[in-house]
Amino acid sequence: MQEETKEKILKVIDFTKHVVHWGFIPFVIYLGRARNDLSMQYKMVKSVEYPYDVRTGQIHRSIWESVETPTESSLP
Amino acid sequence: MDDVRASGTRKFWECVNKDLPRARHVLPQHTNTAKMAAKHPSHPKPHTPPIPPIPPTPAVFEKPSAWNVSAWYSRLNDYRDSLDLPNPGKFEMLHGEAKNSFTTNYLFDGAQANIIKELSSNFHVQHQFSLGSVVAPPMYNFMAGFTTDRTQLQGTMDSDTNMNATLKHMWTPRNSTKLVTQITSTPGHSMLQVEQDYQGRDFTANFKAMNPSPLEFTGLYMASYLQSVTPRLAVGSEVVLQRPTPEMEETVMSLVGKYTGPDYIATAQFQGGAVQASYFQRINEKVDFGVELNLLIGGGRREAVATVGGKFEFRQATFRGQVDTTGRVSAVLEEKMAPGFSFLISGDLDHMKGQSRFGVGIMLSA
Repeated sequence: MQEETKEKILKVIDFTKHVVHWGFIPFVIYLGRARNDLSMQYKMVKSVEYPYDVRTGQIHRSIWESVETPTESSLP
Repeated sequence: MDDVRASGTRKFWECVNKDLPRARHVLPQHTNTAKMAAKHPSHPKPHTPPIPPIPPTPAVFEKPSAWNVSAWYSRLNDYRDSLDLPNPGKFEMLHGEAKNSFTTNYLFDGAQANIIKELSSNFHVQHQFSLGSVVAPPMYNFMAGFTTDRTQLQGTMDSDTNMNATLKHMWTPRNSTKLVTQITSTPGHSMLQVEQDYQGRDFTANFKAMNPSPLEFTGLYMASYLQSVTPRLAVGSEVVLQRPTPEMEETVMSLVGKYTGPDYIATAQFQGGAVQASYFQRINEKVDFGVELNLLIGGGRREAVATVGGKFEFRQATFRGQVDTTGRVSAVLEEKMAPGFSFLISGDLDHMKGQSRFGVGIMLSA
């Protein structure tokens, strides 16, 4: 039984190695886009709903004024 | 009928209990008779017993027995806290300041272009092109990194489909785990390193395992401990257990001492027959110098290499130069031409071997 479990564990380790090899970078890209673009979109929607700066009362001239840095959402 | 009985019994008990204290929390001087006596002094004062003094509560934290280990431990901890020793830093960064003045990590060969793009405050992407190198074939490298306040993920993919991945997680500000993997398409060259680091108040403990196999416990295991003994001196040791096959086992232990002065750091590491000593001096906020000595005594031979390196940091440029006793001279210059654009030059001359390597590169950050 020891040999069989050893072989199974080796197979599982090999499979995880392949998964990590090809899936890690797409996973990091997914995390980078999913955890960020949502907050950026929220900020954009917020500026459309409240078209003036809450603190100073100044009217926004464009949507991007409420967002700190307008960044590209597409990869180069 | 119940109401009549209740009121009757209440009046009866009120008459009887007029002189007796009504409840335990009512002191004798607050009963009706006492109040009446206070208003009309002619009435005889009721006999109120004197309030006994509250006995002192016994000290619970100091047991008279000498076998109280928890009291020893807390007393030792209080003594340690009263010393107020600083954290000595990580073990792998012992020679870190001196090595930062060297060109070792910054040398490159051929033409190189680095494009770093920060897509958001948490996420950045880097493209690296390398061409014309003597040591490595032309290659393209893609790197993606995701950072939060506790986790840091970084993945690098080669044009040869080699992957490097790093995962750092901080469970608490003192406890952190790091996983580094290197997976290659050619079987047998893959590597996994697991590291657990604990930074205490005045000590650092680290455990590292390289290629640990859960089946046979082969691999390389390292444990290190570094402790501050005075506000300037830190001592520590590292134990390395090498187990390439289940039968072969080799243990190496090394002792380490680190002395931090006002503007210098001196470190020495003794391991069997090998000595690694470094001295780092900060001359001013722009200039750093480091000296490292590697001595190997054993097996009938004695070898020593000394390296002197300096780092010059200016507003728009960083220059690192290094001279070796093996006759090797190297220098790296990074110049910030415009915000987001820097220019790199690297040169490495080995006079003994007669080899030279030069590199030119640009780094763009957008």
